[in-house]
Amino acid sequence: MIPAETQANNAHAAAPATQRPSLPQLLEQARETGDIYLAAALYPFAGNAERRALEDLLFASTKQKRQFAGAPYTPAPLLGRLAEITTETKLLARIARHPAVTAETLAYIVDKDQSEAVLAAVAAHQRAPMDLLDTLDWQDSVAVQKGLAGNLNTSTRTLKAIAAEAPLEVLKEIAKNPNADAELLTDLWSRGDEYLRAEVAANEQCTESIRTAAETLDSELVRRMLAANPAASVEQLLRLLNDPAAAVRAAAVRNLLLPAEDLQDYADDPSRQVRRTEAQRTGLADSMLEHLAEDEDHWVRRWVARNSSTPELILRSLAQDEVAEVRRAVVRNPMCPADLVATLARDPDSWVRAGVAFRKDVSEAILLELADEEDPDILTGVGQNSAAPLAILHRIASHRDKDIRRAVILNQQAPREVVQPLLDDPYPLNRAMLVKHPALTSADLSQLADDPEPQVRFMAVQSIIRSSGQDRAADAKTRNH
Amino acid sequence: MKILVAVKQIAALDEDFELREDGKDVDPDYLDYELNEWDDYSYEEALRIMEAGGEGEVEIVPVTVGPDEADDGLRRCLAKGGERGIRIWDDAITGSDPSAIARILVKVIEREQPDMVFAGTLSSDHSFAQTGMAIAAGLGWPHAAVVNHLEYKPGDSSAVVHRELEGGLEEKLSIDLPAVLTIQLGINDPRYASLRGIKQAKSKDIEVLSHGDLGLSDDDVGEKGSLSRVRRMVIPEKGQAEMIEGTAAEQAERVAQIVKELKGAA
Amino acid sequence: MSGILVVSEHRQGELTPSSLEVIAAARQLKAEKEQPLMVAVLANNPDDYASQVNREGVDEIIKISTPEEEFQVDAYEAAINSLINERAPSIVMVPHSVDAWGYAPVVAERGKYGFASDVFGLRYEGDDLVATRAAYAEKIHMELEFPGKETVLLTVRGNVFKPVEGEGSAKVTDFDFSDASPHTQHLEYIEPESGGDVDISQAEFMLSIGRGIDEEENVEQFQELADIMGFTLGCSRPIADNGWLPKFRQVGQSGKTVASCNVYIALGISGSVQHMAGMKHVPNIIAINKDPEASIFSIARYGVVGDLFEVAEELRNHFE
Ligand SMILES: Cc1cc2nc3c(=O)[nH]c(=O)nc-3n(C[C@H](O)[C@H](O)[C@H](O)COP(=O)(O)OP(=O)(O)OC[C@H]3O[C@@H](n4cnc5c(N)ncnc54)[C@H](O)[C@@H]3O)c2cc1C
Ligand SMILES: Cc1cc2nc3c(=O)[nH]c(=O)nc-3n(C[C@H](O)[C@H](O)[C@H](O)COP(=O)(O)OP(=O)(O)OC[C@H]3O[C@@H](n4cnc5c(N)ncnc54)[C@H](O)[C@@H]3O)c2cc1C
Ligand SMILES: Cc1cc2nc3c(=O)[nH]c(=O)nc-3n(C[C@H](O)[C@H](O)[C@H](O)COP(=O)(O)OP(=O)(O)OC[C@H]3O[C@@H](n4cnc5c(N)ncnc54)[C@H](O)[C@@H]3O)c2cc1C
Repeated sequence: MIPAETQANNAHAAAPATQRPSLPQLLEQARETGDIYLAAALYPFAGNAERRALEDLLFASTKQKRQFAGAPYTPAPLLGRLAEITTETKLLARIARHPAVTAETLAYIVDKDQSEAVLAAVAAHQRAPMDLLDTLDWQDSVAVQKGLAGNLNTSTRTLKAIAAEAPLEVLKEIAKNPNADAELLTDLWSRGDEYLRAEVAANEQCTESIRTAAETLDSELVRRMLAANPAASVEQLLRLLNDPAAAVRAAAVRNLLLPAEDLQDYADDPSRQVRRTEAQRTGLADSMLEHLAEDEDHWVRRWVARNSSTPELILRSLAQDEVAEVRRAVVRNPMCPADLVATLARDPDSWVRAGVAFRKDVSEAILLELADEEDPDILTGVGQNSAAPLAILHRIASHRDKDIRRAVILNQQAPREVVQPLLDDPYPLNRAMLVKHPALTSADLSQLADDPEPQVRFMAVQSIIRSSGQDRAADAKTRNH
Repeated sequence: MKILVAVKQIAALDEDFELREDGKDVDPDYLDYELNEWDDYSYEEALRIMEAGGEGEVEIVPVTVGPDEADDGLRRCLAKGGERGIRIWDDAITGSDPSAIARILVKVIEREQPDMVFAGTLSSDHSFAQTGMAIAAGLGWPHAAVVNHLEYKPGDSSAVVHRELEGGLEEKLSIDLPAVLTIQLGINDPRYASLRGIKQAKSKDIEVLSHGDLGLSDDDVGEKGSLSRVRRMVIPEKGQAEMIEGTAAEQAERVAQIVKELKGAA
Repeated sequence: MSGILVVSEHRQGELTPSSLEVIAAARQLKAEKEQPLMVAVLANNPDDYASQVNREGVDEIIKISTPEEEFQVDAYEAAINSLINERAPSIVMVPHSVDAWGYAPVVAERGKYGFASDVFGLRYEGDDLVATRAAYAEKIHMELEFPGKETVLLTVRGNVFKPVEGEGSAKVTDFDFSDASPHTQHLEYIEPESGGDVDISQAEFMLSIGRGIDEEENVEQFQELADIMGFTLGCSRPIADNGWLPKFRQVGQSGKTVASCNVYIALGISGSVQHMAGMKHVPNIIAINKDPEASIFSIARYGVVGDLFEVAEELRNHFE
């Protein structure tokens, strides 16, 4: 029995509020209201007969077919079915471009339509498996060649075949591909202009002899890309650290293969770009960090302040930096000690105080103080903070600024009583984000399944069905025990 | 006191649209409709005047010329406030340019006798920037275009407005009432409708009229009632820009080279 | 009916540059089909402006003295309607300016003239005038004709026609109209907020960001890039409306015109008419946009189709 009171409150909902609507109920709701978004969300979970019924609704017009072929939210089974029922090249190419389409559907589409638009879409598709890509006809189309060249699933064999015939612009894509082997890269290197060589030099698979050759080339770009190669040797990186070009040195510094202690002697690099990069590395010696913390360039100091290996003492001095962004970086550093956080909570700059508001380890007293401010960034931080007291969350949840209200929606720890009123938030984006909040009950989700905004209904129905699936799985587990 | 707000559904093109067989418009299959962005602002301005007035003192009425689907635009407005809307349509209206549309709206206004009329400055699809002022011409009312600030209380015999001019300059002027104003983006911060409002709007009254109901003849609307006729539509050629191809490194290098040459020359 | 009538405009004592562009557009039509070209000047004291519009190809300058020195909508409408009645031109051309948005549709409606706004292309097909303007957010061009109309009024898009130069030898005449009672009264002009040291209208090198930068947090890296490159940072209107950058950095119709700019890099700006109004004249526009169809490419000298973040990251390497 459903208590009368709950029933009255949810008169608009499709199902009684105390229990989650079942799949058949939702299907009924979709058919009755003619809601295509509900239908699209339910489609993957429906049986065959039900799917046919939903299709009448979903594919009622060419316009809707086009819409679903291109919409980012269309579930894979729906794309598969759409591919079956159409012969229109434009539509098939759209489906083949869709990121969610399955490998089977891609194979099916290639079977059905070999137009360039379709082949180019499949060639570039990340879900296209290697064997399908191997069969594509690329001879007459640079677009297909480019797609294959950039696809991580393209086989070495196919890459080699294309490389033998393709124009330079395609070769550049091939040189980036991790499936390009040493032999292919060596071939490309020998045929390459500077840019092609740069891509080869950056590729993990390139041979040591190429890397050696790259190092001595006159091209800064090639050396810079080499310095970023995740397979470069430490000796080589050390040499590149002395390169005349700052961008090359900076790339070497960024390469994690280079041990941090080897940077010790380079703390005075004349280029601020290099020093800025150094300041971002973890594991630097304290003396080096100390040195960088006094850099004239505030971006260098900023990165030191943000660096998790920076010792407390240095953080304390950076917390008094004249540039607010540096102080902000200190407070965003997870290692910032509690007393320093407390000091920075009273910083004259609101952007620094907002940094405090976002810290998970901040005390309740500080949060209470910050909650009285008016700055939207600070209030957003407080609202998202899992340590924020209930009374404050309530207040932020009813703030007149929609972006500030959203903070509590993003706060995964906020209890249901705080987020529940936001089911009626006038700002559609807030409701769309609320759907994913873990504290919502099935009654809440049912209400959202009836939302005026299609996106909200769609996501709510997805959540309802997925969580009932989890319940069933959990039930089965208990039974097995 | 009554404010009438003219609102319109604009058409957005689907990515691979096609032209109609006769080449005079886009195949309607490739069009999606939504309320003109400017109309959110003009309706908000009307709502604020309504809310500042006493209970029942100010009525606001959204009006549109368009087929069935245009009801969506009216309901979007009514979800925020107002009790009724008016939509005018029949097949003879097809092919109307802004002047013919304005003529229809003039008839509605003469019937409704509002004290003020708002329209959007322009629309994001066709950008004629014409409809509002053509209404004023038909009514013989005072008018001002591109208003981004309005000082007015119900009962006033004149209002102070700012017109947004070129280059960030504004003109402050006073205007006699009743008047037609076209409202510019940024005049306010439009609200979102509450869920309750959206639900209520579904049952609010939308009066549907034909041009005949308003005493207009076939010659007053459609192609015959227009000041222009579409000869054809063409999809423009791509621009003459030199496209810089290659990897991001290559593109950036070329841009840097161009910039350095130009800076050097300067 | 014959002849082309251009209505020139001015504000705060300056002839607007678009007035000379409209004369240029009119001369183009005159070259296609010989007819007299008249330019009207409306002001309390029209003499100064009259000499400024005396350019090559202009046959007659018509001075109309209005009660106010500055634009007043009712006076403009009454004067133009009665001038058209008397002179019966076949074409009337005015700038597509904010002032014209106020008066042109009214003039057209009263006289039942043919009308098209925001026109950027004009030609004759036989005896018929064909005007081209944009539709569907600039993605399509719409050609309009005016069957049965003896007079057609057009508002002409700015920065399309090159302003006429050379001195002319037009005769100058006066025209009186019966004054309309004004329904609006000018109170004052409000100047835009100034940006201290930064005046983008004086900048020679501009890097402008649009909605493509996605989030407020990203603004800073472009500020840094502009610094490194020695460029002045500008933006499109949504960026200023959101408060991500101050209003004085906004380029476009309701922002500033980057009058002195030589190189303009547009990052993630689609190229709306209103934005282009402030930068279209720049000789070296470099557009970076991930959408190859973006209208900004139609006016750019160089185009980069790509992700603005990637290109910007690479770009800084060349200026560090
Ligand atoms: C008109 C409309 C507009 C939309 N616009 C947006 C938008 O602008 N931005 C936006 O973020 N979203 C939008 N969405 C919703 C969006 O498509 C997704 O549904 C939503 O983001 C949920 O994503 P997710 O992270 O929960 O699931 P994802 O991680 O995106 O799930 C992808 C797929 O994984 C599978 N899956 C994932 N988890 C489970 C599970 N627990 N059980 C079974 N299967 C599972 C499902 O098959 C699902 O389709 C829109 C929807 C509609 C209808
Ligand atoms: C020769 C010609 C034929 C055309 N044929 C058609 C056609 O067959 N079908 C078609 O859909 N369009 C047609 N159009 C386009 C149509 O005339 C315009 O969309 C419309 O007149 C408004 O112009 P605009 O959108 O540029 O609005 P603007 O003049 O820029 O003004 C925008 C503001 O005007 C008001 N407004 C504009 N239109 C309406 C409306 N319909 N109802 C209420 N208020 C409104 C609103 O306040 C809106 O914010 C035609 C145009 C021409 C020139
Ligand atoms: C009277 C009036 C005055 C106006 N005045 C002005 C004015 O002065 N100035 C002005 O700018 N606007 C003005 N507008 C507003 C104008 O109509 C447009 O709304 C505005 O210019 C759009 O700004 P945008 O190009 O930044 O944004 P959008 O049109 O949203 O364009 C964003 C672009 O970024 C691209 N992009 C997105 N992500 C990436 C990426 N990762 N890499 C590369 N590219 C990317 C997209 O492809 C898109 O082209 C005015 C309007 C009116 C009616």
